[in-house]
Amino acid sequence: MTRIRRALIVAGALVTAYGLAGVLFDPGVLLFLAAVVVFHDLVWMPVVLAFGALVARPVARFVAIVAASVLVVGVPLVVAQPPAGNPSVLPLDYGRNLLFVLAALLAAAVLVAAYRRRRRVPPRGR
Amino acid sequence: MVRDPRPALRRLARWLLAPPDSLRKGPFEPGAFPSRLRSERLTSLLGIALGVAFAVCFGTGLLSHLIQHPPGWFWWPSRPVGLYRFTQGLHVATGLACVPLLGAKLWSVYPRLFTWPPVRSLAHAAERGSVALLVAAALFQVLSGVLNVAHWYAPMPFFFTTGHYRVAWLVAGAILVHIGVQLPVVRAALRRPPRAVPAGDPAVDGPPIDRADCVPGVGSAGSADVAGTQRRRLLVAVGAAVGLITVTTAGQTIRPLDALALLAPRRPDLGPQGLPVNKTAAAAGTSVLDMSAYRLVVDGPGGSVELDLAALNGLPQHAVDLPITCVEGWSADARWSGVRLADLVRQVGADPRHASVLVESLEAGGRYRSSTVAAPHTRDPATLIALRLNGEVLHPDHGYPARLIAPNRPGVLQTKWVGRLTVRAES
Repeated sequence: MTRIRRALIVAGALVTAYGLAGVLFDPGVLLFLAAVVVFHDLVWMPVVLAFGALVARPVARFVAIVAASVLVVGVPLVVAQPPAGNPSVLPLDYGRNLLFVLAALLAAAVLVAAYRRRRRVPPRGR
Repeated sequence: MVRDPRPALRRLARWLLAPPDSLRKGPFEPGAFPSRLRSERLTSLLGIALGVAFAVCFGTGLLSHLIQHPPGWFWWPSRPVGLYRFTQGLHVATGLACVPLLGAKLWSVYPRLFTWPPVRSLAHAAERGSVALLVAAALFQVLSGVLNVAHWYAPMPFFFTTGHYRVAWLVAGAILVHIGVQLPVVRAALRRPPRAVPAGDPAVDGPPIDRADCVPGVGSAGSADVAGTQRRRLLVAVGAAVGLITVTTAGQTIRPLDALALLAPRRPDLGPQGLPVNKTAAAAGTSVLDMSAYRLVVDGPGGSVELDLAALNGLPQHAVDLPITCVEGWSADARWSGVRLADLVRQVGADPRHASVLVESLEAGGRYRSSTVAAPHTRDPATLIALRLNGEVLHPDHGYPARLIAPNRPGVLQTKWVGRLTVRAES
């Protein structure tokens, strides 16, 4: 395994060097690289952890994880402006659709939680 | 008097490798991340899934790059007709699936950002540097991809295609290093039965204090059980997020799912003549041209011909069912009819089995003003200079008077408003 690991690390270092050479003189790329990691580590992650500390219910956490993922994909569609004169780009009402998807997610989670609670009650003898 | 700087440097190095505990505050404190959900097994499972997803994205992305910028050794067939549609649809779908995977993976290793001491040795510093690069590059790729398919270019201070391609190499390299470093950790984590979490494993890098953050389930068997259930719930949530994103977007290329494609940037049936458009005639500047004077100029080794629309319509017409496949991950089927490219190649004295064709648009400029049709596509009978779409004369946005349509080729290379063909014989 040591040999495989060494080969992976050496090959990876070479490919990384090639990649670095490609981005080193592209200030826009460097800026975006730095911005995404700073935003993720210093803004996004603290918010996620704070939410996780406040909300312990499994259903709520489930909904939060799925909703956050859908929002990352969906919000750019809402914010982006379709190019003038080309109605085939972003042809839908994404704000409404996003709300619909989130509402369906919430409804499904509530139903599942209610179903599970009902199933669990009899064995506890309540 | 010149003092020897070496003792000061040594002191600095010693300080860096063992900083005073008084600095160990906030997230650096032991136990700052109390969640019992994190485990090396969970991180390993997420890491494997993410590794496979990134490998798929890298492979399909590199392929798309090679098709668009073919080096001399590269060869791309014209069949199967829908191969590029599959690989590029897979590229975008897999990239979107990376959103929850990457989010969960980074959450699971976040405490390691606050490892104490921050640097233990040169090798440790190099490893941490490569991880930082990996995190930055992975976030870059997933976010820039999401922004690009959504046509939201404002937050990206670079040209997407170039940036996305270059950073792909950074991700690939950093992942290889990461796998090389973490292989024993992953193997140990997966060999271990999921519920029994041992207190420590000497094969794993880092001192025990690191691991106290990551493997908290050292308590009774009962608490490990609870943690195991919670971890399964987390994986189910990540899986559900992948599923929901896929179901609400994949309809942009998988027709049976298009009713569910609530978050797809394109719908295969929405656009002029029921087909989406990337670049309109107005955007290309061809809407102001006088098409009544239109001539298609065909240059070849045997001479040159000029064909107006009547002459093109007078040549044998053929119909083909071919998809338009965008690099952004959408695709749409259509029936095209027009003149076979191979027939035009023969008219100027070349053998279509051994000829490539430079196809130039009437556009004055632009990155995709021209494209080259290599021999496999030139000789394919499905490659047309199309004049009609679904039985109607081409809409200006679809390339009126004439456009190229060829099987198994990215949409940006299906040149519209074709004005000139230059045929080159190949040996």
